Amino acid sequence: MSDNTVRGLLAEDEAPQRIRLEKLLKEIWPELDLVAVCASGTEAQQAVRALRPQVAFLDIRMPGVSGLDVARDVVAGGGHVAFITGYDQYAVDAFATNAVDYLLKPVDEGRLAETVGRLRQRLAQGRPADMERLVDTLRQALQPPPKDAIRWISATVGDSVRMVDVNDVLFFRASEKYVRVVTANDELVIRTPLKELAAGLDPEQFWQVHRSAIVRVAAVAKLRRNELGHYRLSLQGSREKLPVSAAAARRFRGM
Amino acid sequence: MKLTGERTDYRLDEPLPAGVVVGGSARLLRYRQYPVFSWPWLRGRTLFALVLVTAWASLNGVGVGLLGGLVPGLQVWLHQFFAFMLMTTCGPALATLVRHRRWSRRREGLALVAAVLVGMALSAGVDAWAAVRVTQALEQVPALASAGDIGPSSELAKAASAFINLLVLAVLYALFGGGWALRAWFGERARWQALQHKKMLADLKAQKRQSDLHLSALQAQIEPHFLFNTLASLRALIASDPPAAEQLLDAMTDYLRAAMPAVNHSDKTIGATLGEQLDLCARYLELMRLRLGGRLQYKISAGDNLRSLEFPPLLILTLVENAIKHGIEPHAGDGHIELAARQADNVLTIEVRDNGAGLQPGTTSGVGLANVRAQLQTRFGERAGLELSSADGWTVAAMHIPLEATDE
Repeated sequence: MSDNTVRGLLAEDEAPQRIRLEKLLKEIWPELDLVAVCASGTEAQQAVRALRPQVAFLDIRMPGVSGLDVARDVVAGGGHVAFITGYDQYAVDAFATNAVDYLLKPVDEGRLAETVGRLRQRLAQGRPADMERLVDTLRQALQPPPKDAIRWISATVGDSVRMVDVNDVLFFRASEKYVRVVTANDELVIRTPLKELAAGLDPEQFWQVHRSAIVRVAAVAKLRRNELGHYRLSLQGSREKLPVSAAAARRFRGM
Repeated sequence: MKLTGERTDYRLDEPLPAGVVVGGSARLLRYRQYPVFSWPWLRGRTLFALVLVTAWASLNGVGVGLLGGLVPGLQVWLHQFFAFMLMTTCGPALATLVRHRRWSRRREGLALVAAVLVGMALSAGVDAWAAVRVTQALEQVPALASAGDIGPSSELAKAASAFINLLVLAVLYALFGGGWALRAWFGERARWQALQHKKMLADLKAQKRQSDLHLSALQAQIEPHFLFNTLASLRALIASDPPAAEQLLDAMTDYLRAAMPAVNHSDKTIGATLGEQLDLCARYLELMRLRLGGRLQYKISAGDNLRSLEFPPLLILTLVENAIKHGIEPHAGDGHIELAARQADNVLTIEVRDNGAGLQPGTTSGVGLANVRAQLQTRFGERAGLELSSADGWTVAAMHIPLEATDE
C-alpha cells in the first residue's frame, strides 16, 4: 500500500444505499481503501476494533449497535467520523456545533465531495476532536424520553416473553430480586424496580400502598386492620392480601 | 358528524332499543318493549287487560251465577267486563291517537295527559252506570240483597266508606286507566335521551381513537428516519437498478396515498375491508423489502372468504409497522414477517409474526399498540383482544375478533 492510501469503513444497513455510497466513495476518493463495508452496527463495531479505520462513514440507526457507539470506538482508535443521517434539523444542529461531519439522506454527490475534502484536511492535521460530548447530546436528542407513561409490561413467562396491557394489571409486588405483575388471569415476573414503575405509572390509576406493593385503585375491594394494627388490602380478582403502610391507609380512608 | 340534539322521532312501530326497555320478557308483558302509546303497545296492552278483566269478571259472574242463577250472573259478568275493559283501554287508546300525531314534545305531553284524563272521565261515567246495573242485578239475588243491608248505618261511617270507595277508584284509575302508562312515557323519554347521549359519547370516543391511529400512521410516514431512508434508497436504486427504483416508487406512492385520507379523518376513503387493509400492508412490506435489499422477506395469507369482511383501517398496519420498527430493523441479518388472517369457531384471528429482535422484558409506552387495543374494544367489545408474546425467536402480535360482531 502506498503512503497516501486511507483505510476507510462504511456502515449502512439498507443495501441499495450502501451499494451507492460505496460506488460514490470509490469515484470521489480513489485513495480511500474501504477495508470494511458493513450492514449492521454489530458488524461495524467488530470491524472497527479489528481494522482500526482512519475514516468511517456511519449510518446512525442500524441493527445491533447504534452508529453513535461505533463512532466512539472509531475516535478511540484515532479515526475520523462522518455520519450519514436521515434525522431532522435538531440532530443536524448538534453535529454542526460540535464540528462533526455529517451527510443528510438522500446523500448528494456534491455534499459527499465536500465532506471528503474536509476529512482529508482533518487527516492531514492529525487528531480528531473529542466525540464524547457530541454523542451524549445526540443520544438525548434522538431518543424518546424514557420517562414516558408506561402502557405495556413485557415479562418472562417460562420460555417466552409476553406483553401485558398495564390496564389489565391488578397489582405489582416486589420480592427480593424481581417484581411480580399480577392480572386477573396471569402472573408474570419483571426486573424493573418498583420505584421505576411507580414513576412511570399513572398516579390516578395506581397507588403505591407499601414499599413492596403498587395496586390498581379501581380494583381495591377491602382494607382491613388485623389484631396487630397492620393493614391488609384485598383486591377484586385476586385472593392475595397485600400489606398497606399506615400513610397509604390514611389515604384510603380519606376517600 | 351530525349533531342530533334532542331526538323526538324514534319509530313507534318498532321495539325500543335494549337500553330503553324496562319490562320483562313474559309473553303477555312483551308489549312493554314497544314505545308507550304506540299501536303495537296498545294492542299488546289491550290483550293483557282482556285476560285480566275476563278472569276478574268471570270470577264475580260465576259467583253471582251460582247463588242467583244464570241471568244475574251473566248480567254481572257483562257489565263488569265492559266497564273494566273501557276503564283500562279508553284513556290509553285516546293517548295512542294523540301520540301518533307526532307533535312536539311539549304539546304531546299536555295532550297525552288530557287524553288520559278524558279517558278516565268517560270510563268513570260508564263505570257509574255499570255499578248501578250490577247493583240491580245483585238485588235479584236474595242471598246477596240481604247481605247488602248490613251496610254502615251512621252518617260518619257512610261518608268514610264513600271516601274510601273514591280513593280506591282513584288509585284503580291511576294504575290501570292510563296513569301508570303516562308515568312510563316520561321515563321512556328520559331513558331514550340518556341512551342517545351515551351513544354520542361512545361515538366521539371511537372517533377520537380513530384519529389517534390516523395521527400515529401519519407520524410514522413523515418520521425522518422512514421518509429520508426511503428517499435515499430510491435515489440509490435509480442508478443501479431502475426497475427496482420504479417498484419502490410505486409502493411508496400507494402506501402514502392509502394513508393520506388521515388528514380529513374519513374512514371511507381508506380501505374498509380486510382485503384492502392487507393490501395496504403488502405495499408497506414491499417498500421495506426493497429498502432493506432483500434482507426482509414477507408472506401474507388470508382466505378469499375473509377478504371481503368489513374491517377498521390501520389496525393491522400498526402491528406490521411495529414488527418492522422493533423486530426487523434493530435486528441484524435476514428477517421474516408473516401476516395471516384466519377464522376458527367464529373468531377472526389476525397474526403478525416476525423473527426479529424480540420482546425485551421491562416496560414500554407503545401508544400505537394501546390505540389498537382500545379500538378493538370500542368496536367489538370485551371479547376482542390483542396479544403479544415472543418465544423461540418469533414475536407474535395477534388480534382476536368475534365474527358475529363484524356483521353489524
